[in-house]
This record gives sequence, structure tokens and C-alpha cells, in this order.
Amino acid sequence: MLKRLAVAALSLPLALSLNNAANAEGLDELPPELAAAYEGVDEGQPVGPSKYRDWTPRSGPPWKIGYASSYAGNTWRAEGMTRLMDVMLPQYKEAGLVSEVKVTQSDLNDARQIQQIRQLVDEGVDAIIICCSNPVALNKAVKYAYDKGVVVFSYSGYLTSDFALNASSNYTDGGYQIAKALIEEVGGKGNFLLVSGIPGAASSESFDTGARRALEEFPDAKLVGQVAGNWTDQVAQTEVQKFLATNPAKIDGIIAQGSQETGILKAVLQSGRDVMPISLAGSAGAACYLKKNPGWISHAFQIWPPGDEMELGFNSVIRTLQNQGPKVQSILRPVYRVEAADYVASLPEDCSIDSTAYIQPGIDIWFDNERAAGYFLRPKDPLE
Amino acid sequence: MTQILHHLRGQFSHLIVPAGLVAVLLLICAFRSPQLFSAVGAAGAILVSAPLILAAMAITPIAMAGRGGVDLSIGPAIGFINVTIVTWLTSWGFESPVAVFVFAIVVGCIWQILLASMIVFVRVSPIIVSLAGFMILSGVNLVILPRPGGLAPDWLSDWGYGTELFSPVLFVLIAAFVLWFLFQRTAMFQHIRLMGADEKTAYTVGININVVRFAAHLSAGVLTGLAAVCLTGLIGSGDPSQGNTLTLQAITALVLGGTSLAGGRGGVVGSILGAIAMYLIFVVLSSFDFGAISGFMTQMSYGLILVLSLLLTLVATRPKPAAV
Repeated sequence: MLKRLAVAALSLPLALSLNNAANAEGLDELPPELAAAYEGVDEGQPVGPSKYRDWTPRSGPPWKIGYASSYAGNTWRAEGMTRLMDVMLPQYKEAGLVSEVKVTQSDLNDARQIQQIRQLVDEGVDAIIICCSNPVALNKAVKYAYDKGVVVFSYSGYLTSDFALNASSNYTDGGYQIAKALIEEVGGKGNFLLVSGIPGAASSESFDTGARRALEEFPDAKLVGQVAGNWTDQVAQTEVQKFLATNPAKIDGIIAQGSQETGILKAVLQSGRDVMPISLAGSAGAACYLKKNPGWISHAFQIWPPGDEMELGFNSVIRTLQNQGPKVQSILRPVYRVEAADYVASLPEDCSIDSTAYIQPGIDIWFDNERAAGYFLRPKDPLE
Repeated sequence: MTQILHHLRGQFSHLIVPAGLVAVLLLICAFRSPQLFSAVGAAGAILVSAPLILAAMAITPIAMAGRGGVDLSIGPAIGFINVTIVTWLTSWGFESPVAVFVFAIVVGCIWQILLASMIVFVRVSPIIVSLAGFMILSGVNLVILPRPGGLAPDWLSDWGYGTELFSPVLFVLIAAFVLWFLFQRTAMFQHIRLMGADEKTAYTVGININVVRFAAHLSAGVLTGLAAVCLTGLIGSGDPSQGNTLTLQAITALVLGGTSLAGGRGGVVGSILGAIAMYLIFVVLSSFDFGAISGFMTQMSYGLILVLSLLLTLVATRPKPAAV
């Protein structure tokens, strides 16, 4: 045992120095304000130098892109798909960069997604985008693609494979900042409810990890419950209703993952309680309530705006195909905080709190050329 | 001669539809997805479909044993073995192939013995027992491994490359088939069939029906373990929710294969054909581009083909009126 400890003690500085050596390429090349976004990231998320620093596709443009989607059953996914097919595809087709986008669907089934990635590779796509899947299960399929000259890019979540590229916000940091801001909003103390996404899904767990980290910093803030809203308004509404009906204690604030705050708000309104601060992260319905009730909460966050996340992934894929050379395996966008007045500015006066749409910062804020330039060795506007 | 043919037709009539379906799907694949017929394509097919084939095989003896025994817990049970391999087994330092296989098969058998005990001694209906098992294990899996992660032993996760035709996965499948056909030659297997067809008669002629039910569940346990090893090799990691999706797929494959949920009729060949058909349906559908609605198209096509096959199975297995 002692011997083991000694070995561990000796190997730790060695590992750290090796890490630093590896980081000389990759993270160290990022501008400091971007590198800051990598603080406290999931330990599983790969942040080493990318394998695509000097990679060129087999041929093209125009390229054929595969989208091996894992799920299509909620508004978040639908919004991403709409942005891809109706906004980006025509744009990139016109620019002569993309010939077609082929979409497959695996309904949250790893085996099917592995099959579809292999099938897309065999059909001759040049790149594959995927979203928010199991971080390890697809690794061998990613290697299969890489060996045949196809890059696999995961947006809104990460894969641990060295041969994959990833793009998203830092969700652990997102959970931390969103929870911290909400606890501060109600004075640093009180009872809090946490509404998670899907238990077991990587992004959901990352968020919760960050949120708990924030809760630990406030000794008087108590987590009195946690429910899963599945990132779906209807589910979140039902779960929060059940919680409020069975827990008479006062709830001072609800820390919520995005894409479900409208459902949570409705549950609170139906319960007859005074509306306490709820984390806002892009759902137009809850944002409309803020527009009609200024002062309810002072800020909102965006960590996974569905269309912008898709665009970030797609934009990064095209840049990689253009030999722009992504520096790091994971492009991590810093967490985006917006003040209440700016957040609701785009909403019309006659908005509805039943809206299932999203407010999104837009690609010019989310991943403009200036910001993207920091992540690539040879950056240029992909559409030029 | 015609009598023999008649007899054969009677015995294998439930295989006509699944075999026909597989043949038609292979033909479509030849045009839509010719890659499937290359060594690499076939290797990928074996890799991806193995967990479902073995899961469908596993629930077959339980269905054949009658009492409407559909093992709903099969998916989470496979998931349980998967998450415990990557968490417990690796932390105990057991990573050799022998350890993994023994662990998986033993855990699979223990789980099935628990189910069978509830059914035999507490006299709860099999479907209720397995439903409770589904719920319990779904929760337990998330407690053991809250999110997808962990790493399978290296030798096992290397299965996931799936580029060699003569791969360990293929040998596991062949071993499962061989084991099954040896089991089929035993008197015990005949007792399972008899009990499934008519439990009262089986009891009256002196068969110990409790022992027979345990035997059906034990054979399912062995196959559950093999399915879990193949799933772990495929995803190279642990996933607490992946197994759950296998339950409905395995039952679909079982029904497609012509096994009667009322017990007695059916067999593992049908389940294997059913699982292969499901895989091929999926390959064919993935070769089309339905754009934004592809997920719904896949589900819809699945449902329609299933209903059609069941109707055809009904026609194919209907007993002919005796010639006057």
C-alpha cells in the first residue's frame, strides 16, 4: 500500500508535467479569454491537441455531410434540425460548400447510432455531425470513420475518442454559474429545487455537478429536492407540479436546466404560489413572463441555444474540411450571460407564455468569425 | 412423403414468415446497401446485431414455458451486467476474458433464478414479476452508474472495431447456437415445450413443472450474460439506460420469429431470424434520407412491417382443416 502511495506521489508531478507538455500544443495556443472557459470542465472531456490540425478531406467541396441524430422528440432537437435544414443548408449549398445533408435517426439507441455512422461512412459522406450522445460508446465507430478519411464532430456534448472533435459550452461551468446567479438573486440563502434534464445523459449530469458545486459555496442555501424534466416542458411541468403539491415548504428559487423553464413556470403558476426566481435559459414562454413582469429576475443565461449550437457544430465542421486546423479536440464556448432587458428585447409586446419557441443569441454573438478565429490555426470565414 | 412434408410444414410453419422477410430484406439491401455483403460490412452487421440476437434468444425459452411469460426485465438485466462489468468487475481487478464471461453468465443466471422463484413459489404472474424486475433494475443501473461512462477491459472494447469477419463476437454467437442446439436435444427441453403447451397435462404425466420452469429461466440467464458481454464490447463502456431499449426490441424479434406468447409453439431459430430481420429493416431505412422526419419514418415503418408480418404469421401457422 505504502509502495503504491509512493509510486502515486512520484507519478503525479510526472503526469502533470506530461500534461503541460501536451498542452503546449492545443490549449496554450488559445487566447486567454477563451482558455478560461476550460476551467472546471468535465474530467472526461478531451482537451488535448486535435488530430485535425493539418487534415484535409478526400475531395471537395462541395461536401456531403451526414447528421447521425440520436433523438427527435423534443422542441430543442426540432429547433436544431430546422436551423440545419432550412437556414444553413441553403446557405452552404449556395456557397458551393455542401452538396447534401443526410439525416439518420437512432432514437437514443447506441447500437443503431454506431450502425448509422458506419453506414454513412460507407455511403461516402465527408463529415458526420452528431449531438449529445454517450461519450464512449461511439468511439470505435469514430475510429472507423477516421480510418476512411471522415471526420466525426460532436456538438452539444462530447466524445472521448482522440479522433473526434467536439463543440459546445462548458456545461459544468454553465450549471455552476446558473445556480450561483440564482442563489445570489434571492440573497444567498433559502430552499432550492433543482430541475435536471435526463438522468444519465452526460450534459445533464455535467450541469448538476456544477450546480451542486455552487450550492456548496452557500452554507445557508439548501437543496430540498431534485426532479428530472427531461428537457421537455410538459414533463418538467408535471414533475414540478408533483413536487410542489407534496412539499409544503417554501421554495425560494428553482435552479433549472434549459429548454424546460416554461413548463416549470406554468407549474408554479398553477400551484398558486408566488412566482419565485427560476433560471432562464432561452425558452421564449418563460421569457415572455419576464417581459410582462419586469424585475422578476435580473438575468438569463444561454448555454445550449438549439439552433446556435447546431450552427456552431456545422460551422466548425466546414472549417475543419477547409483545412483551417482546429487547435484543440474540444471547442468550448464560454458561458453566455445576458441581462434581463436585453434578453427580452427581441420579444413582441403580444408574446405568449405558452410559446414553445426559443430566444437565441444568434451566430453573430454565439460563434462569430472573430471568436472562431481563436480556435483555429488558419481561420477564415467559411462562407467566403 | 407428402406426410413427412406435412409434418415438417407443421413443425416449421412459424418460420415461413420470418425467413421470407429476411430473404426479401436481403434482396433490398443488395440494391440499397451493397456494403453489407463485403467482409467489413458483414463484420459490422454481426457486431451491431449480436446483442439483440442473443437477447431475443434469451427470452425465447421463457416464452415457450407458457403462462404468458414475456421477460420484460431482459433489457435492464443486460444493462445491469454491462454497468457492473465496467464498474465493479474492473475495480476488483478482474479483467480477464474468463472472469468477464463467468461473471456475466453467473449474474444472468442469478437474476433469472430470482424471477423464477417469484413465479414458482410466490405464484405471481410472470409478466408482473418481470415488469417489477424491469423497474427495479432500471433504477439500480442508474444508481451504480449515474451517467454513461467507464471503460470496458481493452480486449473487450477492441471488439467494437468490427472490421474482421471472424471476430470474437461471431464465435460467441456460434457458441450460443451450439449450446442451444445441444439443449434442444435434452428431455428437459421437450418438457419446457410440453409445459408451455399445456401445463396441466405436463403436471399430470409426472413432470416436475417447477424444475422445468427453473431450467427455462436458467437457459435464459446464460444467454442474457452472453448478450451483455456483446453489448459491452459494442459500446466499450457502461450505459445505464442502453439496456432498456433492448426489451421492446427483443420482444418484437421474438414475435416476428413466430414464437407464441401463449407458450408451446416457437423456437430460437425464429427469434434469431426475427432479430436479423429487425436489423435489416433498420439498415434499409437508414439508406434512405427522410430528412427531418427520418426518426418518425423509421418507427412507423417498423410498426407497419411488424403488423404485416404478424398477419402473415397468423395465416401461415393456421392449422389446416383436416381433409375429409
